[in-house]
Amino acid sequence: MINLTIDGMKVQAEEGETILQAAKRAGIRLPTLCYLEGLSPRGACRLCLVEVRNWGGRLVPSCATPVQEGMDIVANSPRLRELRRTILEMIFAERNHICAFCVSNGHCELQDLAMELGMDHVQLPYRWPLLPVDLSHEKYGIDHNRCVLCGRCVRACAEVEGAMTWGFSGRGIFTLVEADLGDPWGKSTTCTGCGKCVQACPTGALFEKGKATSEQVKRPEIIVEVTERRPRA
Amino acid sequence: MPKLRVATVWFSGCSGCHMSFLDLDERLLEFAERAELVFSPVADVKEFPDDVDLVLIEGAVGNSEHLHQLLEIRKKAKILVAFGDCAVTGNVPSLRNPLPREEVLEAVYATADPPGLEEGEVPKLLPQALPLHAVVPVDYFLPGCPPSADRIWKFLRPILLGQKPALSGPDLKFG
Amino acid sequence: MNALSERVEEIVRPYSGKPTELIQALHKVQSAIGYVPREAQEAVAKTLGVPPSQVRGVLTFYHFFRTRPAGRHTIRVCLGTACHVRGGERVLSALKEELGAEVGETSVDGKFTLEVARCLGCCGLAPVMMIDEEVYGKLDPKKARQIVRNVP
Repeated sequence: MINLTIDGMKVQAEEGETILQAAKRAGIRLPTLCYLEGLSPRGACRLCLVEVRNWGGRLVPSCATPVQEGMDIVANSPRLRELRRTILEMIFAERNHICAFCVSNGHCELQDLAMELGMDHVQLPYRWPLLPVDLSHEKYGIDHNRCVLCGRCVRACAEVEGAMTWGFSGRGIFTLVEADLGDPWGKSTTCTGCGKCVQACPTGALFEKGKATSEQVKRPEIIVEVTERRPRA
Repeated sequence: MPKLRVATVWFSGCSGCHMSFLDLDERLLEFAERAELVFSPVADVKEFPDDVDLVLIEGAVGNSEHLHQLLEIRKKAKILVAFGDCAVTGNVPSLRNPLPREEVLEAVYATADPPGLEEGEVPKLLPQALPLHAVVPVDYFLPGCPPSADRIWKFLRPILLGQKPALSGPDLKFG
Repeated sequence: MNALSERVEEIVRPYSGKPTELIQALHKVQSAIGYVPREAQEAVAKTLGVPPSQVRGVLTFYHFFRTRPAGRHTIRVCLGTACHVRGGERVLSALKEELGAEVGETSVDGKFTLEVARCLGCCGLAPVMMIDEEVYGKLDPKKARQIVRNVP
Protein backbone atom coordinates (compact mmCIF):
# COMPACT_ATOMS: atom_id res chain seq x y z
CA MET A 1 0.00 0.00 0.00
CA ILE A 2 1.00 3.58 -0.68
CA ASN A 3 0.42 6.33 1.87
CA LEU A 4 -0.38 9.85 0.81
CA THR A 5 -2.22 12.94 2.02
CA ILE A 6 -5.05 14.66 0.19
CA ASP A 7 -6.25 17.96 1.62
CA GLY A 8 -4.70 17.00 4.93
CA MET A 9 -6.50 13.65 5.03
CA LYS A 10 -4.40 10.48 5.27
CA VAL A 11 -5.26 8.22 2.34
CA GLN A 12 -4.07 4.74 1.39
CA ALA A 13 -3.91 3.65 -2.20
CA GLU A 14 -2.73 0.69 -4.17
CA GLU A 15 0.34 0.80 -6.34
CA GLY A 16 -0.62 1.93 -9.86
CA GLU A 17 -3.75 3.76 -8.78
CA THR A 18 -4.14 7.35 -9.88
CA ILE A 19 -4.57 10.34 -7.59
CA LEU A 20 -8.12 10.69 -8.89
CA GLN A 21 -9.01 7.10 -7.92
CA ALA A 22 -7.49 7.52 -4.46
CA ALA A 23 -9.33 10.83 -3.94
CA LYS A 24 -12.62 9.32 -5.07
CA ARG A 25 -12.35 6.47 -2.57
CA ALA A 26 -11.58 8.97 0.18
CA GLY A 27 -14.77 10.82 -0.71
CA ILE A 28 -12.99 13.82 -2.17
CA ARG A 29 -14.70 15.15 -5.27
CA LEU A 30 -12.57 16.39 -8.19
CA PRO A 31 -14.09 17.91 -11.32
CA THR A 32 -13.42 15.86 -14.49
CA LEU A 33 -14.43 16.11 -18.13
CA CYS A 34 -12.15 14.09 -20.41
CA TYR A 35 -11.91 11.29 -17.84
CA LEU A 36 -14.39 8.45 -18.17
CA GLU A 37 -14.33 5.28 -16.10
CA GLY A 38 -13.64 2.30 -18.32
CA LEU A 39 -11.38 4.24 -20.70
CA SER A 40 -7.67 4.98 -20.50
CA PRO A 41 -6.92 8.38 -18.94
CA ARG A 42 -5.91 11.10 -21.34
CA GLY A 43 -5.19 14.24 -19.26
CA ALA A 44 -6.62 16.38 -22.05
CA CYS A 45 -8.95 18.81 -20.29
CA ARG A 46 -6.82 19.62 -17.22
CA LEU A 47 -9.89 20.24 -15.06
CA CYS A 48 -8.90 17.57 -12.53
CA LEU A 49 -5.51 19.07 -11.84
CA VAL A 50 -4.22 19.02 -8.29
CA GLU A 51 -1.22 20.53 -6.57
CA VAL A 52 1.53 18.29 -5.22
CA ARG A 53 2.84 20.35 -2.32
CA ASN A 54 6.07 18.41 -1.81
CA TRP A 55 6.88 18.56 -5.52
CA GLY A 56 7.31 22.32 -5.23
CA GLY A 57 3.59 22.96 -5.76
CA ARG A 58 3.63 21.33 -9.16
CA LEU A 59 0.26 20.92 -10.89
CA VAL A 60 -0.54 17.47 -12.25
CA PRO A 61 -3.67 15.99 -13.84
CA SER A 62 -4.99 13.68 -11.12
CA CYS A 63 -6.63 11.33 -13.68
CA ALA A 64 -3.28 10.49 -15.29
CA THR A 65 -0.85 10.67 -12.37
CA PRO A 66 -0.12 7.51 -10.36
CA VAL A 67 0.10 7.86 -6.60
CA GLN A 68 3.54 7.86 -4.98
CA GLU A 69 4.57 7.29 -1.40
CA GLY A 70 4.41 10.42 0.74
CA MET A 71 2.64 12.65 -1.79
CA ASP A 72 1.11 15.71 -0.12
CA ILE A 73 -1.74 16.74 -2.36
CA VAL A 74 -3.96 19.80 -2.44
CA ALA A 75 -7.22 18.92 -4.22
CA ASN A 76 -9.17 22.07 -3.40
CA SER A 77 -7.83 25.55 -2.81
CA PRO A 78 -8.59 29.09 -4.03
CA ARG A 79 -5.69 28.78 -6.51
CA LEU A 80 -7.03 25.51 -7.96
CA ARG A 81 -10.57 26.86 -8.12
CA GLU A 82 -9.31 29.88 -10.07
CA LEU A 83 -7.28 27.69 -12.45
CA ARG A 84 -10.14 25.28 -13.06
CA ARG A 85 -12.54 28.11 -13.76
CA THR A 86 -10.13 29.65 -16.28
CA ILE A 87 -9.71 26.28 -18.01
CA LEU A 88 -13.49 25.88 -18.14
CA GLU A 89 -13.86 29.37 -19.58
CA MET A 90 -11.36 28.56 -22.31
CA ILE A 91 -13.43 25.54 -23.27
CA PHE A 92 -16.61 27.62 -23.34
CA ALA A 93 -14.98 30.41 -25.36
CA GLU A 94 -13.41 28.11 -27.93
CA ARG A 95 -16.54 26.89 -29.72
CA ASN A 96 -20.30 27.23 -29.37
CA HIS A 97 -21.46 26.15 -25.93
CA ILE A 98 -24.66 28.13 -25.72
CA CYS A 99 -26.93 25.92 -23.63
CA ALA A 100 -30.32 27.38 -24.59
CA PHE A 101 -30.27 25.86 -28.06
CA CYS A 102 -28.34 22.66 -27.43
CA VAL A 103 -29.71 19.11 -27.64
CA SER A 104 -27.98 18.31 -24.34
CA ASN A 105 -29.42 21.24 -22.38
CA GLY A 106 -30.20 19.97 -18.89
CA HIS A 107 -28.04 16.85 -19.09
CA CYS A 108 -24.61 18.02 -20.13
CA GLU A 109 -21.40 17.50 -18.19
CA LEU A 110 -19.98 20.84 -19.36
CA GLN A 111 -23.09 22.71 -18.23
CA ASP A 112 -22.92 20.92 -14.87
CA LEU A 113 -19.26 21.84 -14.46
CA ALA A 114 -20.09 25.53 -14.98
CA MET A 115 -22.53 25.29 -12.05
CA GLU A 116 -20.11 23.29 -9.91
CA LEU A 117 -17.21 25.69 -10.49
CA GLY A 118 -19.38 28.78 -10.07
CA MET A 119 -18.84 30.05 -13.61
CA ASP A 120 -21.50 32.76 -13.93
CA HIS A 121 -19.99 34.23 -17.10
CA VAL A 122 -17.04 33.79 -19.47
CA GLN A 123 -14.49 36.56 -19.12
CA LEU A 124 -12.47 35.50 -22.16
CA PRO A 125 -13.66 36.70 -25.58
CA TYR A 126 -15.71 34.09 -27.47
CA ARG A 127 -14.25 32.84 -30.75
CA TRP A 128 -17.57 32.00 -32.42
CA PRO A 129 -16.19 29.69 -35.13
CA LEU A 130 -18.40 28.23 -37.84
CA LEU A 131 -17.84 24.47 -37.86
CA PRO A 132 -19.64 21.74 -39.78
CA VAL A 133 -22.46 19.53 -38.53
CA ASP A 134 -22.41 16.01 -40.01
CA LEU A 135 -25.84 14.37 -40.18
CA SER A 136 -24.92 11.71 -42.73
CA HIS A 137 -25.18 8.81 -40.28
CA GLU A 138 -28.50 7.02 -40.17
CA LYS A 139 -28.89 7.11 -36.38
CA TYR A 140 -26.51 9.76 -35.07
CA GLY A 141 -25.18 13.24 -35.71
CA ILE A 142 -22.01 15.15 -34.83
CA ASP A 143 -21.94 18.91 -34.25
CA HIS A 144 -18.30 20.04 -34.14
CA ASN A 145 -19.39 23.37 -32.69
CA ARG A 146 -20.25 21.58 -29.43
CA CYS A 147 -17.11 19.42 -29.27
CA VAL A 148 -14.67 19.93 -26.39
CA LEU A 149 -12.03 17.58 -27.89
CA CYS A 150 -12.02 15.42 -24.75
CA GLY A 151 -11.47 12.35 -26.94
CA ARG A 152 -13.91 10.13 -25.01
CA CYS A 153 -15.58 9.12 -28.30
CA VAL A 154 -12.20 8.36 -29.89
CA ARG A 155 -11.19 6.18 -26.94
CA ALA A 156 -14.57 4.46 -26.61
CA CYS A 157 -14.41 3.59 -30.32
CA ALA A 158 -10.81 2.32 -30.16
CA GLU A 159 -10.64 0.75 -26.69
CA VAL A 160 -14.11 -0.67 -26.19
CA GLU A 161 -15.65 -1.19 -29.62
CA GLY A 162 -12.29 -1.76 -31.33
CA ALA A 163 -13.48 -0.07 -34.53
CA MET A 164 -11.05 2.87 -34.46
CA THR A 165 -13.38 4.86 -36.66
CA TRP A 166 -12.85 8.16 -34.87
CA GLY A 167 -9.59 10.06 -34.90
CA PHE A 168 -8.35 13.60 -34.48
CA SER A 169 -7.53 15.60 -37.58
CA GLY A 170 -5.65 18.87 -37.65
CA ARG A 171 -4.19 20.41 -34.52
CA GLY A 172 -4.77 22.94 -31.76
CA ILE A 173 -8.09 24.74 -31.79
CA PHE A 174 -8.61 23.58 -35.37
CA THR A 175 -8.68 19.92 -34.36
CA LEU A 176 -11.77 17.98 -35.43
CA VAL A 177 -12.97 14.52 -34.49
CA GLU A 178 -13.41 12.81 -37.85
CA ALA A 179 -14.28 9.36 -39.14
CA ASP A 180 -11.76 7.30 -41.14
CA LEU A 181 -10.06 9.48 -43.77
CA GLY A 182 -12.23 12.49 -42.93
CA ASP A 183 -15.28 10.97 -44.59
CA PRO A 184 -18.90 11.75 -43.73
CA TRP A 185 -19.81 9.56 -40.75
CA GLY A 186 -22.53 7.81 -42.73
CA LYS A 187 -19.98 6.73 -45.36
CA SER A 188 -17.58 5.21 -42.81
CA THR A 189 -16.50 1.68 -43.65
CA THR A 190 -15.26 0.96 -40.12
CA CYS A 191 -18.14 2.32 -38.00
CA THR A 192 -20.32 -0.44 -36.57
CA GLY A 193 -23.08 1.97 -35.56
CA CYS A 194 -22.81 0.79 -31.93
CA GLY A 195 -23.34 4.29 -30.51
CA LYS A 196 -20.79 3.99 -27.68
CA CYS A 197 -19.21 7.26 -28.81
CA VAL A 198 -22.56 9.00 -28.47
CA GLN A 199 -23.11 7.65 -24.95
CA ALA A 200 -19.55 8.59 -23.95
CA CYS A 201 -19.81 12.17 -25.25
CA PRO A 202 -20.14 14.64 -22.34
CA THR A 203 -21.77 17.42 -24.39
CA GLY A 204 -24.20 17.80 -27.28
CA ALA A 205 -21.47 17.19 -29.89
CA LEU A 206 -22.57 13.60 -30.50
CA PHE A 207 -26.29 12.97 -30.36
CA GLU A 208 -29.03 10.58 -31.39
CA LYS A 209 -31.21 11.65 -34.27
CA GLY A 210 -34.95 11.96 -33.76
CA LYS A 211 -34.70 12.54 -30.01
CA ALA A 212 -35.95 15.71 -28.36
CA THR A 213 -33.71 17.59 -25.94
CA SER A 214 -35.54 16.14 -22.93
CA GLU A 215 -34.96 12.58 -24.21
CA GLN A 216 -31.32 13.15 -25.10
CA VAL A 217 -29.94 11.67 -21.88
CA LYS A 218 -26.50 10.09 -22.29
CA ARG A 219 -25.41 6.95 -20.47
CA PRO A 220 -21.61 7.24 -20.22
CA GLU A 221 -21.67 4.56 -17.49
CA ILE A 222 -22.32 1.90 -20.16
CA ILE A 223 -18.61 2.14 -21.04
CA VAL A 224 -17.52 0.78 -17.67
CA GLU A 225 -20.44 -1.67 -17.60
CA VAL A 226 -19.29 -3.15 -20.89
CA THR A 227 -15.61 -3.29 -19.94
CA GLU A 228 -16.27 -4.88 -16.55
CA ARG A 229 -18.23 -7.71 -18.10
CA ARG A 230 -15.13 -8.63 -20.07
CA PRO A 231 -12.42 -10.89 -18.68
CA ARG A 232 -9.39 -8.85 -17.65
CA ALA A 233 -6.38 -9.15 -19.93
CA MET B 1 -35.12 53.65 4.08
CA PRO B 2 -35.71 55.42 0.75
CA LYS B 3 -36.99 53.30 -2.09
CA LEU B 4 -34.41 51.76 -4.40
CA ARG B 5 -34.50 53.32 -7.88
CA VAL B 6 -34.66 50.31 -10.23
CA ALA B 7 -34.62 50.18 -14.04
CA THR B 8 -35.01 47.29 -16.46
CA VAL B 9 -33.81 47.43 -20.07
CA TRP B 10 -34.53 45.29 -23.12
CA PHE B 11 -31.79 44.87 -25.73
CA SER B 12 -31.37 42.02 -28.22
CA GLY B 13 -33.47 39.35 -26.53
CA CYS B 14 -36.92 37.80 -26.67
CA SER B 15 -38.34 39.59 -23.57
CA GLY B 16 -38.59 36.20 -21.87
CA CYS B 17 -36.52 37.49 -18.96
CA HIS B 18 -38.99 40.35 -18.48
CA MET B 19 -41.86 37.84 -18.61
CA SER B 20 -40.07 35.84 -15.94
CA PHE B 21 -39.71 39.05 -13.90
CA LEU B 22 -43.49 39.55 -14.08
CA ASP B 23 -43.84 35.95 -12.89
CA LEU B 24 -42.64 37.20 -9.48
CA ASP B 25 -46.39 37.49 -8.91
CA GLU B 26 -47.22 38.43 -5.30
CA ARG B 27 -43.55 39.08 -4.65
CA LEU B 28 -43.97 42.13 -6.89
CA LEU B 29 -45.87 43.69 -3.97
CA GLU B 30 -42.82 43.43 -1.75
CA PHE B 31 -40.74 44.71 -4.65
CA ALA B 32 -43.05 47.75 -4.97
CA GLU B 33 -42.74 48.44 -1.24
CA ARG B 34 -38.98 48.60 -1.38
CA ALA B 35 -38.33 49.82 -4.92
CA GLU B 36 -39.53 52.28 -7.50
CA LEU B 37 -39.46 51.25 -11.16
CA VAL B 38 -38.03 54.37 -12.82
CA PHE B 39 -37.44 52.99 -16.33
CA SER B 40 -38.63 49.79 -18.03
CA PRO B 41 -40.30 48.41 -21.14
CA VAL B 42 -43.33 47.90 -18.89
CA ALA B 43 -43.27 51.56 -17.73
CA ASP B 44 -43.82 54.41 -20.16
CA VAL B 45 -40.64 56.43 -19.65
CA LYS B 46 -38.68 57.74 -22.64
CA GLU B 47 -35.37 58.86 -21.13
CA PHE B 48 -33.13 56.73 -18.96
CA PRO B 49 -33.06 58.72 -15.71
CA ASP B 50 -30.00 59.78 -13.70
CA ASP B 51 -29.15 58.21 -10.35
CA VAL B 52 -30.46 54.72 -10.89
CA ASP B 53 -29.51 52.35 -8.07
CA LEU B 54 -30.01 49.09 -9.90
CA VAL B 55 -30.49 48.23 -13.57
CA LEU B 56 -31.33 44.79 -14.95
CA ILE B 57 -30.43 44.54 -18.65
CA GLU B 58 -31.93 41.76 -20.73
CA GLY B 59 -30.47 40.89 -24.13
CA ALA B 60 -27.19 41.05 -26.00
CA VAL B 61 -25.66 44.22 -27.43
CA GLY B 62 -26.83 43.75 -31.00
CA ASN B 63 -26.97 47.17 -32.65
CA SER B 64 -25.60 50.69 -32.47
CA GLU B 65 -28.54 51.88 -30.33
CA HIS B 66 -27.87 49.21 -27.68
CA LEU B 67 -24.21 50.16 -27.67
CA HIS B 68 -24.98 53.84 -27.20
CA GLN B 69 -27.58 53.15 -24.48
CA LEU B 70 -25.35 50.73 -22.60
CA LEU B 71 -22.53 53.28 -22.36
CA GLU B 72 -25.01 55.89 -21.07
CA ILE B 73 -26.61 53.47 -18.62
CA ARG B 74 -23.24 52.46 -17.19
CA LYS B 75 -22.61 56.11 -16.31
CA LYS B 76 -26.01 56.55 -14.68
CA ALA B 77 -26.53 53.27 -12.80
CA LYS B 78 -24.78 52.18 -9.61
CA ILE B 79 -25.37 48.43 -9.95
CA LEU B 80 -25.54 46.96 -13.44
CA VAL B 81 -26.82 43.40 -13.83
CA ALA B 82 -26.55 41.17 -16.90
CA PHE B 83 -30.08 39.76 -16.76
CA GLY B 84 -30.44 36.38 -18.48
CA ASP B 85 -28.27 34.37 -20.88
CA CYS B 86 -28.37 36.82 -23.82
CA ALA B 87 -26.87 39.54 -21.65
CA VAL B 88 -24.44 37.10 -19.99
CA THR B 89 -23.21 35.05 -22.98
CA GLY B 90 -24.76 36.46 -26.19
CA ASN B 91 -26.97 33.36 -26.29
CA VAL B 92 -29.48 33.08 -29.19
CA PRO B 93 -28.63 36.45 -30.81
CA SER B 94 -24.97 35.35 -30.96
CA LEU B 95 -25.95 32.47 -33.28
CA ARG B 96 -25.29 34.89 -36.13
CA ASN B 97 -21.79 35.76 -34.91
CA PRO B 98 -19.87 33.22 -37.03
CA LEU B 99 -21.40 34.80 -40.16
CA PRO B 100 -20.45 38.14 -41.71
CA ARG B 101 -23.03 40.85 -40.94
CA GLU B 102 -23.71 41.35 -44.68
CA GLU B 103 -24.62 37.68 -45.07
CA VAL B 104 -27.06 37.91 -42.16
CA LEU B 105 -28.75 41.02 -43.57
CA GLU B 106 -28.88 39.44 -47.02
CA ALA B 107 -30.57 36.33 -45.59
CA VAL B 108 -33.18 38.32 -43.67
CA TYR B 109 -33.85 41.40 -45.84
CA ALA B 110 -32.70 40.04 -49.25
CA THR B 111 -30.25 42.93 -49.32
CA ALA B 112 -27.04 43.61 -47.42
CA ASP B 113 -27.94 47.30 -47.36
CA PRO B 114 -31.53 47.67 -46.12
CA PRO B 115 -33.05 51.16 -46.39
CA GLY B 116 -32.96 53.46 -43.38
CA LEU B 117 -29.49 52.49 -42.20
CA GLU B 118 -27.64 55.30 -43.93
CA GLU B 119 -30.19 57.91 -42.88
CA GLY B 120 -29.85 56.88 -39.25
CA GLU B 121 -33.55 56.00 -38.94
CA VAL B 122 -32.71 52.42 -38.07
CA PRO B 123 -29.82 51.48 -35.76
CA LYS B 124 -26.97 49.63 -37.47
CA LEU B 125 -26.50 45.96 -36.72
CA LEU B 126 -23.15 45.42 -34.98
CA PRO B 127 -20.81 42.89 -36.61
CA GLN B 128 -21.47 40.54 -33.67
CA ALA B 129 -24.01 40.36 -30.85
CA LEU B 130 -21.96 40.82 -27.66
CA PRO B 131 -22.50 39.97 -24.00
CA LEU B 132 -22.72 43.12 -21.87
CA HIS B 133 -19.38 42.58 -20.13
CA ALA B 134 -17.62 42.71 -23.52
CA VAL B 135 -18.60 46.41 -23.61
CA VAL B 136 -18.83 47.75 -20.02
CA PRO B 137 -18.01 46.44 -16.54
CA VAL B 138 -20.88 44.36 -15.17
CA ASP B 139 -21.51 44.06 -11.43
CA TYR B 140 -23.60 40.90 -11.31
CA PHE B 141 -24.50 38.06 -13.67
CA LEU B 142 -27.92 36.46 -13.48
CA PRO B 143 -27.86 33.58 -15.97
CA GLY B 144 -30.77 31.52 -17.25
CA CYS B 145 -32.85 31.34 -20.41
CA PRO B 146 -34.89 32.79 -18.86
CA PRO B 147 -33.87 32.86 -15.19
CA SER B 148 -36.89 31.56 -13.27
CA ALA B 149 -38.90 33.93 -11.09
CA ASP B 150 -37.56 32.07 -8.04
CA ARG B 151 -34.01 32.62 -9.17
CA ILE B 152 -34.70 36.31 -9.91
CA TRP B 153 -36.15 36.75 -6.45
CA LYS B 154 -33.25 34.94 -4.79
CA PHE B 155 -31.02 37.47 -6.50
CA LEU B 156 -33.17 40.57 -6.14
CA ARG B 157 -34.37 40.30 -2.56
CA PRO B 158 -30.95 40.67 -0.89
CA ILE B 159 -30.31 43.79 -3.00
CA LEU B 160 -33.66 45.26 -1.94
CA LEU B 161 -32.59 44.64 1.65
CA GLY B 162 -29.23 46.31 1.10
CA GLN B 163 -27.32 43.03 1.07
CA LYS B 164 -25.10 41.32 -1.47
CA PRO B 165 -26.67 38.60 -3.59
CA ALA B 166 -24.68 35.38 -4.06
CA LEU B 167 -26.08 32.84 -6.48
CA SER B 168 -24.38 29.46 -6.69
CA GLY B 169 -24.82 25.90 -7.92
CA PRO B 170 -28.10 25.20 -9.76
CA ASP B 171 -28.96 28.91 -9.65
CA LEU B 172 -26.13 29.52 -12.11
CA LYS B 173 -27.43 27.07 -14.71
CA PHE B 174 -27.23 28.40 -18.25
CA GLY B 175 -30.03 27.55 -20.66
CA MET C 1 -7.07 -1.56 -57.61
CA ASN C 2 -5.64 1.21 -59.74
CA ALA C 3 -2.10 2.05 -60.84
CA LEU C 4 -1.54 4.63 -58.13
CA SER C 5 -2.53 2.27 -55.33
CA GLU C 6 -0.25 -0.39 -56.78
CA ARG C 7 2.61 2.06 -56.93
CA VAL C 8 2.05 3.14 -53.34
CA GLU C 9 1.89 -0.45 -52.16
CA GLU C 10 5.19 -1.03 -53.90
CA ILE C 11 6.71 1.98 -52.14
CA VAL C 12 5.51 1.05 -48.67
CA ARG C 13 5.99 -2.71 -48.94
CA PRO C 14 9.07 -2.60 -46.63
CA TYR C 15 6.76 -1.30 -43.89
CA SER C 16 4.12 -3.96 -44.38
CA GLY C 17 2.49 -4.87 -41.08
CA LYS C 18 4.51 -2.24 -39.19
CA PRO C 19 2.11 0.41 -37.85
CA THR C 20 4.92 2.23 -36.05
CA GLU C 21 6.49 3.12 -39.42
CA LEU C 22 3.50 5.26 -40.42
CA ILE C 23 5.34 8.60 -40.62
CA GLN C 24 8.25 7.02 -42.48
CA ALA C 25 5.89 5.41 -44.99
CA LEU C 26 4.03 8.66 -45.60
CA HIS C 27 7.37 10.43 -46.15
CA LYS C 28 8.33 7.88 -48.78
CA VAL C 29 5.01 8.26 -50.56
CA GLN C 30 5.23 12.03 -50.59
CA SER C 31 8.78 12.13 -51.88
CA ALA C 32 7.88 9.71 -54.68
CA ILE C 33 4.53 11.18 -55.72
CA GLY C 34 4.81 14.73 -54.43
CA TYR C 35 1.75 14.44 -52.19
CA VAL C 36 -0.38 11.82 -50.45
CA PRO C 37 -3.63 11.37 -52.34
CA ARG C 38 -6.61 9.53 -50.95
CA GLU C 39 -5.80 6.27 -52.75
CA ALA C 40 -2.33 6.39 -51.20
CA GLN C 41 -3.78 7.00 -47.73
CA GLU C 42 -5.96 3.94 -48.13
CA ALA C 43 -3.07 1.84 -49.42
CA VAL C 44 -0.81 2.93 -46.55
CA ALA C 45 -3.52 2.10 -43.99
CA LYS C 46 -4.07 -1.32 -45.50
CA THR C 47 -0.42 -2.25 -45.98
CA LEU C 48 0.79 -1.11 -42.57
CA GLY C 49 -2.32 -2.27 -40.72
CA VAL C 50 -3.16 1.18 -39.35
CA PRO C 51 -6.75 2.44 -38.99
CA PRO C 52 -7.59 5.08 -41.63
CA SER C 53 -8.44 7.54 -38.83
CA GLN C 54 -4.82 7.38 -37.61
CA VAL C 55 -3.40 7.91 -41.08
CA ARG C 56 -5.57 10.99 -41.38
CA GLY C 57 -4.53 12.17 -37.90
CA VAL C 58 -0.82 12.04 -38.74
CA LEU C 59 -1.28 13.56 -42.22
CA THR C 60 -3.21 16.55 -40.95
CA PHE C 61 -1.11 17.08 -37.83
CA TYR C 62 2.21 17.64 -39.61
CA HIS C 63 2.31 20.65 -41.91
CA PHE C 64 4.92 18.91 -44.02
CA PHE C 65 2.44 16.48 -45.55
CA ARG C 66 0.25 17.44 -48.49
CA THR C 67 -2.95 15.72 -49.50
CA ARG C 68 -3.23 17.67 -52.75
CA PRO C 69 -0.63 17.99 -55.51
CA ALA C 70 1.87 20.81 -55.19
CA GLY C 71 2.49 23.26 -58.02
CA ARG C 72 5.55 22.94 -60.27
CA HIS C 73 7.18 25.63 -58.12
CA THR C 74 6.90 26.35 -54.41
CA ILE C 75 6.91 29.94 -53.17
CA ARG C 76 7.80 30.43 -49.51
CA VAL C 77 7.13 33.94 -48.24
CA CYS C 78 9.03 34.72 -45.07
CA LEU C 79 7.01 36.09 -42.16
CA GLY C 80 9.82 36.03 -39.62
CA THR C 81 10.35 39.03 -37.38
CA ALA C 82 12.50 41.11 -39.77
CA CYS C 83 10.33 40.35 -42.79
CA HIS C 84 7.18 40.97 -40.76
CA VAL C 85 8.47 44.42 -39.79
CA ARG C 86 9.51 45.25 -43.36
CA GLY C 87 6.24 44.33 -45.04
CA GLY C 88 6.24 40.55 -45.53
CA GLU C 89 2.48 40.47 -45.01
CA ARG C 90 1.95 42.94 -47.86
CA VAL C 91 4.11 40.80 -50.14
CA LEU C 92 2.07 37.77 -49.15
CA SER C 93 -1.27 39.52 -49.83
CA ALA C 94 -0.03 40.61 -53.25
CA LEU C 95 0.99 37.05 -54.10
CA LYS C 96 -2.28 35.60 -52.87
CA GLU C 97 -4.05 37.97 -55.24
CA GLU C 98 -1.62 37.33 -58.09
CA LEU C 99 -1.98 33.53 -57.80
CA GLY C 100 -5.58 33.37 -56.68
CA ALA C 101 -4.47 30.99 -53.94
CA GLU C 102 -4.40 31.08 -50.16
CA VAL C 103 -1.47 29.84 -48.08
CA GLY C 104 -1.11 26.09 -48.58
CA GLU C 105 -2.99 26.20 -51.88
CA THR C 106 -1.89 25.87 -55.48
CA SER C 107 -2.68 28.30 -58.29
CA VAL C 108 -5.37 27.10 -60.70
CA ASP C 109 -2.82 26.63 -63.50
CA GLY C 110 -0.88 24.26 -61.22
CA LYS C 111 2.25 26.38 -61.51
CA PHE C 112 2.77 27.64 -57.96
CA THR C 113 2.08 26.45 -54.43
CA LEU C 114 2.06 29.30 -51.93
CA GLU C 115 3.57 28.71 -48.51
CA VAL C 116 4.88 30.77 -45.63
CA ALA C 117 8.05 30.35 -43.60
CA ARG C 118 9.01 31.70 -40.19
CA CYS C 119 12.59 32.63 -41.13
CA LEU C 120 14.69 31.92 -44.18
CA GLY C 121 17.93 33.00 -42.51
CA CYS C 122 18.74 36.13 -44.54
CA CYS C 123 17.08 38.84 -42.51
CA GLY C 124 19.36 41.54 -43.96
CA LEU C 125 17.48 41.15 -47.23
CA ALA C 126 14.02 41.45 -45.63
CA PRO C 127 11.38 41.03 -46.80
CA VAL C 128 12.33 37.86 -48.62
CA MET C 129 10.77 34.92 -50.38
CA MET C 130 12.09 31.74 -51.91
CA ILE C 131 10.95 30.22 -55.16
CA ASP C 132 12.14 26.63 -55.08
CA GLU C 133 15.83 27.01 -54.10
CA GLU C 134 16.25 30.65 -55.16
CA VAL C 135 16.09 33.53 -52.64
CA TYR C 136 14.63 36.92 -53.60
CA GLY C 137 15.21 39.84 -51.23
CA LYS C 138 14.28 43.47 -50.58
CA LEU C 139 10.83 42.83 -51.98
CA ASP C 140 7.78 44.99 -52.23
CA PRO C 141 4.39 43.84 -53.53
CA LYS C 142 5.07 45.07 -57.06
CA LYS C 143 8.52 43.51 -57.27
CA ALA C 144 7.22 40.18 -55.93
CA ARG C 145 4.47 40.06 -58.55
CA GLN C 146 6.97 40.78 -61.33
CA ILE C 147 9.35 38.06 -60.19
CA VAL C 148 6.54 35.53 -60.10
CA ARG C 149 5.34 36.55 -63.58
CA ASN C 150 8.85 36.02 -64.97
CA VAL C 151 9.20 32.46 -63.71
CA PRO C 152 9.06 30.15 -66.75
